[in-house]
Amino acid sequence: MEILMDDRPLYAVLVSLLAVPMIVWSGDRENLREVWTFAAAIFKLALVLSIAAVVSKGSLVVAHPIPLVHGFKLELVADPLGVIFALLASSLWIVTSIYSVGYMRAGKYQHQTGYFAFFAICLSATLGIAFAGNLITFFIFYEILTVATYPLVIHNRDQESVLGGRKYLIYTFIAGQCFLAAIVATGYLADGNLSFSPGGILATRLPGGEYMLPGNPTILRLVFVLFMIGVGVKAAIMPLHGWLPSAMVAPTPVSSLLHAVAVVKAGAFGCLRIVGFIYGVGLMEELGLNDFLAAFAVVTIIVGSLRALGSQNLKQRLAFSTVSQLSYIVLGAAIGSKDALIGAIFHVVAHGFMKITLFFCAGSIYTRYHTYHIPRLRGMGRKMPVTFAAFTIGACGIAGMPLVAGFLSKWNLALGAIHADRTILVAALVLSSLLNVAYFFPIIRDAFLESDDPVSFEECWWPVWIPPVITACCAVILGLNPNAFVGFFNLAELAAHGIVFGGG
Amino acid sequence: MRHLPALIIAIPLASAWIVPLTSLVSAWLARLISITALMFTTLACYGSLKHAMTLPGMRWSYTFGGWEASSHGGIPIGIEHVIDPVSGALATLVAALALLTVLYSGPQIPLRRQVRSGVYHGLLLTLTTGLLGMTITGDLFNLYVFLEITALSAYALLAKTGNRATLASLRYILVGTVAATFYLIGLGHLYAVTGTLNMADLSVRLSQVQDSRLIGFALILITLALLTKMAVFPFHSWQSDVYTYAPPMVIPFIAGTMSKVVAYTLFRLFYTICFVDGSVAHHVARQVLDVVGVVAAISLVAGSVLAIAQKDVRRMLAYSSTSQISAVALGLAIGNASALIGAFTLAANHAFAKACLFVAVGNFHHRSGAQNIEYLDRLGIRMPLTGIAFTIAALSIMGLPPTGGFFGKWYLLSGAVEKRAWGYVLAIVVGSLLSAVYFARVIERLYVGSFDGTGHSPSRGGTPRKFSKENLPFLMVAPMAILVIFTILVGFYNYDLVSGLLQYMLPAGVEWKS
Repeated sequence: MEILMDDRPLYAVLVSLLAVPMIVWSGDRENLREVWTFAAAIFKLALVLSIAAVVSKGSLVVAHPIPLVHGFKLELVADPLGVIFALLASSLWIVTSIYSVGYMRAGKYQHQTGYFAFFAICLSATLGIAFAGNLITFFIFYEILTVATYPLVIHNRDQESVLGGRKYLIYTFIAGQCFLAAIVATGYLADGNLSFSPGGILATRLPGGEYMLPGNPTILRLVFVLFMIGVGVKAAIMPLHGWLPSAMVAPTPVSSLLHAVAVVKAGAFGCLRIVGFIYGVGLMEELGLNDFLAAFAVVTIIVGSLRALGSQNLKQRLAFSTVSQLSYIVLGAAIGSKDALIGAIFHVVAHGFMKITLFFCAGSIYTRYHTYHIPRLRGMGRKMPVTFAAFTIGACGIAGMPLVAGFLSKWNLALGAIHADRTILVAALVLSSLLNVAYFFPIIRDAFLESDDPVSFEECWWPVWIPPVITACCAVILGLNPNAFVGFFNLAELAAHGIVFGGG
Repeated sequence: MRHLPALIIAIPLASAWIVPLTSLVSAWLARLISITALMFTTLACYGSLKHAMTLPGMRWSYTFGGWEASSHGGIPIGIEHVIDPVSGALATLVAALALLTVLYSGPQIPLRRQVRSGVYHGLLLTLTTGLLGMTITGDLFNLYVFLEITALSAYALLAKTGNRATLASLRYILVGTVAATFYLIGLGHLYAVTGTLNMADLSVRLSQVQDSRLIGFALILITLALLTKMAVFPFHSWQSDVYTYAPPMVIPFIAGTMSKVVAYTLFRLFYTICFVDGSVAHHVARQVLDVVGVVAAISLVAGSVLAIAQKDVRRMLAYSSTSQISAVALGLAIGNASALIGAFTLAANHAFAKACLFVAVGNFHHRSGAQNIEYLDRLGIRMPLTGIAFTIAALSIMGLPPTGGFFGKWYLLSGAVEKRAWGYVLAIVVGSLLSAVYFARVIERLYVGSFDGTGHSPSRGGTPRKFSKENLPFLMVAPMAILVIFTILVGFYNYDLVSGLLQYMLPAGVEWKS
């Protein structure tokens, strides 16, 4: 594989960090302040796009490493998997920034300067996670993301948000420490190698098909559990999901980009990295870890959907839906066949676009009517037709209907499950889709049909209702042509190929 | 400058006499002299360190008056100062923190009736002399003398605010004297079997001693004394009251340096003196050090637990120090290259960050009178610089990347894993989680305040004053800014720190793996 030494990944990480002092400096001039956010977001996307153009041709973009600690460097490597995540985060940041401006100004929120500053830090950390070339780099950005998200969770500074913030910190700090212990142990087991490498670093496969284990299998399993606690909290694998519904007290743009895309996907992405690039699917199978992980994923998928069904608060319902959907990615990693991995990786993108649409809609309803209570949404579809149209598209996508992006990820996941002789998992996927329909469609039916009002247009101002339209359109375009924009599906295929067949 | 190592002691010692006398004439002049003296001391330390690093073996031995200090030239009666990367760096750190503390305390002295400028500066200089002496001396008995100089000036300084401070200081005297006596008895035993007190000489002679019980007894006594002085749990009880009631202006220095210097003595005792391959002393010392490791691991967790239970910020920071210095001791006890580098990084990081925290807390107190956590409501917003300094230093102690605390923890954990000491791994992880708990609680107060609307709940510590509208004096902000910048630099330039300085501190025989 061709390697291009180029510092673009580093610049892509740093560009939003550089915007932070400017945002703080122009804190009391709102329009100027927002200019910095958009400038950084557009720059970031441009950088990531230019990297993606190189990576989709099959090469890697590697920044010059910076020595960090004895034996390990800060490595930023843009590989197909990382580029997918980076593209998702940086493109959605632009849309979310438009929405943030609309939402925060319409809601007359306090501390907007701090809000935009911490948002920019979060995006830097997310890109760092996407491009991290080894575990220690990954961990550093992972913890920065944890800390930088906290002020956004407690943005409202009321009792509910402070309690939500505490819960968030408790979950994520414990996870972080487990992760750190696992990383140090891996460094020891793999003899000082922590670099992500497709196919895994821990075991070498002997010609006879046997695996040469670096240590006691029990210790390898224990370390894996520590890893999964580390990434599982952010990926909201049950029973580690408790913080996510509580963190919904944050302003809706935070919930949409961070708690539906950046933070939670960092967890799911971490899971893919650990499974595909540290342990490797073969070793997972050898140690019996894939069934273990799949069991947790399936339980999370089903129970998450049931909890969503039981919630009458729109944001809570979306949060539990996120919990459930994230485990599709974990499940794909656990199955470990090529199709399943393609499905899982594509789901990172598809779910990102669909769920952010749904959150945007929830936020625009809140901005207009100050409610998240589901029974009160009755008849609103006729007053806010654009918002609810976007909501419908997002819901269809989550439920896995064809023509929307979510269908492709589920199809590939199911295909992968069948190829890996785990047909039972297909049943779980189907059941989950039915539950998705059950918790989304009553909302849509009530909103459009349970009212005799004439259709009117009572949307908020444009920055609030345009973003969900954009993301919903993207979800549909990705459903029709999964290689639209920059060839997401190709990149997913490249990444999955690497994981299954090794780097080569 | 051939005599730099002598000046390191001579400058602060001489000015400790001059300053109180000068202050009878002019308080301003006395202050100027102490600041100048500490500046030159810092430069002398740094210069000696730089010079020592250029010498073969990176060891600069300075003998007073040319008297031979080791016994191969006859009777060892000379006094020796040794500058090597460890002692040079620590001395520089001590002198620099002393300088910052003198600057920081300037605006506060006139506010306190009980503190007289001349005496205060004199005592601070004596304290600095003692700590520097402990750091650079090559002789265990001189170390004892300097230990007592340090302790005596600390007792006097800490009692300066009267009442509770006096009582706390009395308790410190009692505990400290017992510890010093233990040290002396242990030292007596070592002298009895070897006939020398010079460290390098002792190391050679001790390696020939076969009496493991006697060496063990001496080592246990000295170690106990040092652990008490470091305030490692369960020998920590004197520290919390002292840090809580003592004059806030001197605590940054004491909290930043004193326990590090004692930890350094522990390092010298084991790694310079006892660890000679194949000797009985090595074997015995290794066993004692293993026990120290267990105690340190327990203390690491216990200190954090105690810190969580506190309502007073300074008391909380005191227990946090117990936990942090235990992490340093744990690194020394594990003893492989990674763990030792971890201990050095953590010590440096803690020196800057904890001093910075105490300065920040002093600043909060200065403007609002708040010392209890519940009185800190939203002070981080009203005093943004101090709030940011506190937060950054706290994140560093918590060990979150990319701060120095994280890298220290990383090396320490690597060391523990290399040694397959899973219990230590657990202790480090749990300790740092608990530190996140007590710091997050304070930071939440600083920025969000009491969200439940009940406002202040009175408890001991008194009602705080009305929030002062006057901004902090420049001299109270600048040292804090310098400290927080150093805290950040320890993290960002950690690799350069390790490859440029810390790796040369590793004792002979301890090598990086691969």
